[in-house]
Amino acid sequence: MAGIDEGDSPSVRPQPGPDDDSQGYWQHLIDGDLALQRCSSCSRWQFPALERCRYCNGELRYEAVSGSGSIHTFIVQHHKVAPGFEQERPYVIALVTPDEAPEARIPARIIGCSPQDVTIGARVTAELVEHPGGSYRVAVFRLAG
Amino acid sequence: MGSRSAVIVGIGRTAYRRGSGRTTLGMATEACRAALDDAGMPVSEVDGIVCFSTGDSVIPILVGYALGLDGLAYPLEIKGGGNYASIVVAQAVAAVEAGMCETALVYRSLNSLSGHRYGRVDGALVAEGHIQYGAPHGYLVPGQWFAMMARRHMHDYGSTYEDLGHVAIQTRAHAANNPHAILRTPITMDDYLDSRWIYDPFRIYDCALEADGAAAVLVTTAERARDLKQPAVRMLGHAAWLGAGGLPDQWPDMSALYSANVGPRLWDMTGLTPGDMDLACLYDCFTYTTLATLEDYGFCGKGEAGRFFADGRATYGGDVVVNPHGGLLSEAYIHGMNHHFEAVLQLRGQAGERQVKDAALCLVSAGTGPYGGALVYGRD
Ligand SMILES: [Zn+2]
Repeated sequence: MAGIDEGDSPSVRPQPGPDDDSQGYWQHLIDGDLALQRCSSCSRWQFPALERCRYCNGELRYEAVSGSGSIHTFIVQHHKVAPGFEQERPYVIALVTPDEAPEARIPARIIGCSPQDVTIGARVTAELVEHPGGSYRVAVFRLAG
Repeated sequence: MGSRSAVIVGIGRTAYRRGSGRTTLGMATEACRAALDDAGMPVSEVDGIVCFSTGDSVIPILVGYALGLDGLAYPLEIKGGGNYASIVVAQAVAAVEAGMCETALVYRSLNSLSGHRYGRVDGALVAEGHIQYGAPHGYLVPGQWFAMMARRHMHDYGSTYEDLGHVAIQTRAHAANNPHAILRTPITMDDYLDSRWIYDPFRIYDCALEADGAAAVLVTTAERARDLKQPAVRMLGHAAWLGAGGLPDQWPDMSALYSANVGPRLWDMTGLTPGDMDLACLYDCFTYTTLATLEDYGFCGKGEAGRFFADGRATYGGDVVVNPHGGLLSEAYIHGMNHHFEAVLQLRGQAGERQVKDAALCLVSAGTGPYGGALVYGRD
């Protein structure tokens, strides 16, 4: 495509660096699920990942969510802050609250729409896509309906 | 060890530049020496040095070495950003009052333009810690986190792009009277609205002016201050709140900042009110931070800060002069230490053309998002 920086292909996007607490989050995405941690004692959800429940010290287990949620807030990214998004900008990054876990806010791209169509409170559904440049998958969201 | 009090007796700084060509050590040393000269105090009396750091900086014991000291009784480097720019001063005051040291320098030295840049990541990155979730989407720098909050404030309180613009315009107008400020050309609302987007709702004029430099303050006992050159300035109270584990996305009410927790505590502690402040040096890494903290500290109601600026209540002749030096937006991004310099200068009545008449009390805030603090300075 004309005008695209050859050195800025999507394969140079930042890669996730999982730790022992978050490794399950990324593995579930690779396996095809958006899953968040949930406490086996008090049932509360946890995002981002921790080793134990911060409320009751209970055991946290990954549990798949439906991928339906709503937009808590969002920005429209115009300026280059990280490599690999030349072909996307301007694009929307939102904090999405999953229906099952309304206190969690997951940062993700909103795809398949114009930035002007995005509003706070809009309903979205997750789609798992390959993350270029590595072996990970990430959850992106589309406006529902 | 009896009860004693500590005061601010000196301030120092380097030139603020877009590209210093200097080390953070060289700049920190210059700012510290300038603070000592300002006070008329020999370097040999310094036994404590405090700083905060993230990205590039330099450690206190090395600055002590460069100042010619053999060692320090109280060196402290706090790992963190501008959210610690009030805590470092409070820490120096506390250390002197507790007798852990007699005289402490507090500095911040950074090459935020030519060295470590907070707004950009170059080259390959494996994102660890809390940014691992957002970084694969290109969401990983602080301004993006706070733009999320600004959008939520717009949604909840009806604030507008123009409200942010009023902050940018007023702050720049103040900088026009400050020879030390880097950006001094006034801007209009059209200039603001025509400026390029960074991450909507933030345009370039909403963002701090990345720059290189250092600023320092000098703290010693009130007793020692009597023999020094400058009138002393006293910290009347300090409060901080660093919340949500430092995870901005998880901050419960994204239409407020840390300051919603700090404001009430600070006013309660000092027995003062926002109306008592002659000026406020509000941490302004983004226009939105000024806007939201002005509200959270109680200068106006939620959603009213844009109008407060537009109506001239944040400048000379209004309710409180906000950032007479031009702040991080127009003077320079010295990570909030330049706000302390300005506050002390104003309270000593030495701010020249931009002097706030009879300035006796000043709020200085530090930080944004879920983390920050604030203090009130008064003439001793
Ligand atoms: Zn639990």
